[in-house]
Amino acid sequence: MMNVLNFAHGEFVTLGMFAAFLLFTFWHTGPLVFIPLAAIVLFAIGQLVYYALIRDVMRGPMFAQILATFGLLLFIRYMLFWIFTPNYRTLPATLLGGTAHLAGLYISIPKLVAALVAIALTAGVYFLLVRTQIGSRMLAVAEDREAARLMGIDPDRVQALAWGISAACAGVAGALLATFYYISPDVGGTFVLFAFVAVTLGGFGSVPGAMLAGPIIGVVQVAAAYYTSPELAEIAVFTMFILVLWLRPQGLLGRSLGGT
Amino acid sequence: MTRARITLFVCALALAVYPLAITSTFGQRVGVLVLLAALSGTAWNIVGGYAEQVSIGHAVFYGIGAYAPLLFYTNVKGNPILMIPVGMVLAALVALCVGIPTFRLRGHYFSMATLALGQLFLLGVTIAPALGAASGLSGPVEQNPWQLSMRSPVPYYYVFLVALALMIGLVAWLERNRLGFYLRAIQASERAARSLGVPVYRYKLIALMISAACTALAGSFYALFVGFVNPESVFGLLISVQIVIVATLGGAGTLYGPLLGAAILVPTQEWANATFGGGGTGLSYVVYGAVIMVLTRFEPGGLLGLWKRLRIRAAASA
Amino acid sequence: MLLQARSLSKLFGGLAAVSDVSIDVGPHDIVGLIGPNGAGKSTLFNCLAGDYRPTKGSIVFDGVDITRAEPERRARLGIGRTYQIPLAFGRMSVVDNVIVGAYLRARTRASARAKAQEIIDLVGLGDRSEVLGATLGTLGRKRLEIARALATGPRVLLLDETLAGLTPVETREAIDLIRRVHASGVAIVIVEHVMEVIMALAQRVVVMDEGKVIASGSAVDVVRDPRVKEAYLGRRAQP
Repeated sequence: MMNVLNFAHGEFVTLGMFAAFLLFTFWHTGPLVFIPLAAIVLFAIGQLVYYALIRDVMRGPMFAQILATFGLLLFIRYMLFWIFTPNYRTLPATLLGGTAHLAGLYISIPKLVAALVAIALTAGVYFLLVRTQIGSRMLAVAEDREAARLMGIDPDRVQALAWGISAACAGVAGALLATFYYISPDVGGTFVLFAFVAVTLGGFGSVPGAMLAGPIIGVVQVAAAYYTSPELAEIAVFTMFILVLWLRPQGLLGRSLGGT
Repeated sequence: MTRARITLFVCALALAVYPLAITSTFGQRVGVLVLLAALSGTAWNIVGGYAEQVSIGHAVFYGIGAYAPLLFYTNVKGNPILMIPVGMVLAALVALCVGIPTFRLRGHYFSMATLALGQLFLLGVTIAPALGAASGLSGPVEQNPWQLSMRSPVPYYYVFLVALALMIGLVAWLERNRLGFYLRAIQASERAARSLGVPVYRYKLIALMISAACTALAGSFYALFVGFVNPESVFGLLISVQIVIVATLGGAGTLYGPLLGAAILVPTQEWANATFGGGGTGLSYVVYGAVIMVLTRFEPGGLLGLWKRLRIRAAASA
Repeated sequence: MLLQARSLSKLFGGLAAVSDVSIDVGPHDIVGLIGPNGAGKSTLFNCLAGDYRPTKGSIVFDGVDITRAEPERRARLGIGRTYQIPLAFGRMSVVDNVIVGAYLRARTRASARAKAQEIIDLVGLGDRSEVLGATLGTLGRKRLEIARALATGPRVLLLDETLAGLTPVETREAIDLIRRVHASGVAIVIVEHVMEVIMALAQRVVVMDEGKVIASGSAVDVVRDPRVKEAYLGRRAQP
């Protein structure tokens, strides 16, 4: 939405996972604590990344902008590989409770909690964007930075805030994932591409679209993995991405792109 | 003779006599690898540097070029060299799959799609037994110059050097003709270019196809030089990253930038591998990531860009 | 009739920026398009240039329906345009900038370069042909934009507030330049705010207000039209 493609977004998720892991392992904090803490840490990281890297890169040539976050991706992911080694780790499955028996289905509680929090967060961000003053400031800066500056908005602070919030959301996602998913530095890679697919399918700049697309992709992936194999599932998602680009690039709910 | 011409001549001379001066096999191998990197970097430059359509999945084309000859050899025992043009055409067609939908759109779709395509192929080849799966394919073992299968690196070096010279010549020619002008216009302002009648969409696709084919050529050369390929070594993300760094470290959008980048990056990498051992692979990504960030933040023009800036500053203060 | 727009309307959401506008441009005309802020001049201009697709109506150029044509196609047919804020190719030299335009009609590098040099001399940049686009001043960039568009061999040139932001001396030079261009056989459509420029240049003036044409005729007549006066002075302090 801020017209910047953050390739490193998946790595923010991974950082959230590891933050949760570390907080749990060394300070024995429960999810009620480490989830908000992960959010705070990632918020700070997001702002740092903006001020140290993004702000200056945005003034340069386009290819530098694309490459910068890609470089960040490599840096974070493999730094984590180096520090934590590729071994998988997990948090105890009972952290958020086990499974619930609901209407004939077995639903894992951590996943349910994660889903609910995700929905709540997304709704919260959407609300922030369309209903609050800070949200309209963000939209203004995204649309025309200089015009916003003339209106008294400080584009740097607003964009840094956007980066912070985005990173914080990723951090929360990571922390939640940590309660039921394996923790490893390569998690980020798959997720960032899936996120791109979600945004493309839902429509760039459309939060409701992403909300719609997310479950679609999730279902496709899980179904494909169940019926075939995990690798084929990933292939299915990527193929879907390319198909969406061919057939309906504006996504389900996005604005029309290209041309005018 | 201008200073630039003299520098160029000296460098060309150095390149020409390198394998005669450096007689260790290790040194000669490094030379060959530098040339290969320069080939793929120069190829990437066509679409990534001049047209500024950033591909971070160029390994796809490299891999196609690498696998085509060895597939042919493994299944049909034919001369792998025959498949080199086939690999190039195939790469160009695959490039269209990504270019046709994304070049119509604004935003960074192209880059995302190249990343997705790269992962797609990596996964696809890894699980396909017909393509060698994870264990990969081997090439000819017996000495046969007509199959580009030789024991010493030296003949490879000269073949690749000639190829590089031809490729740089091609890019130079493109630079000075309509394609070059149009690509630079597209990079500067697509909107203005359109209003001047530049068929933006078509030219981006042309640049992409040329780039893909040339990258495939580099991949084929790699496969025949090493005699072996597996998915990770030619389709992996590391390859895409290396290609990008080679091109941008030296200077994206310049003629000799990728060669410079290759000459710096490859020996450093080989030295690091030899000194720190294989465990350094993770660390090399960290370094690459840091290098990319520093480059994009401080000197997007690469080393040649830095050089140009310093010269302008020196001239201004004189 | 070279360029004919019929009953053009352009709606954004529910808002009609341009409403049922018709305009005729002959091959030797200089047409000025004026009106207060928000009158719809830019929208109409962009419909003619190809940046917008009109919601209703048609545009015919030299017998060809170009209502939905892409800008590239319009350039090939013979419509050139400049931008309000010049989009020079900063890292390319002046002559290279113009060569990009020249390549539309020229087949070889040599002929493109020759054509470019000729046009550069026409617009008055002859002494600066190797200079980088980014280092030119405002007037220089405007000259470059015109040169570049001219190199495509247009039959009509659409100028988007080309004289904005120029000093009086520069304005006079720009007017001279536009006259020279017109004399070389190119019809001109110029969107403008500044009345004196329009008086000096345009044979025919079309006045817009709130998306509609409210007056059309010679510059002298239009200025005396009470509806025009009201549009400019009635609701706003100045044009």
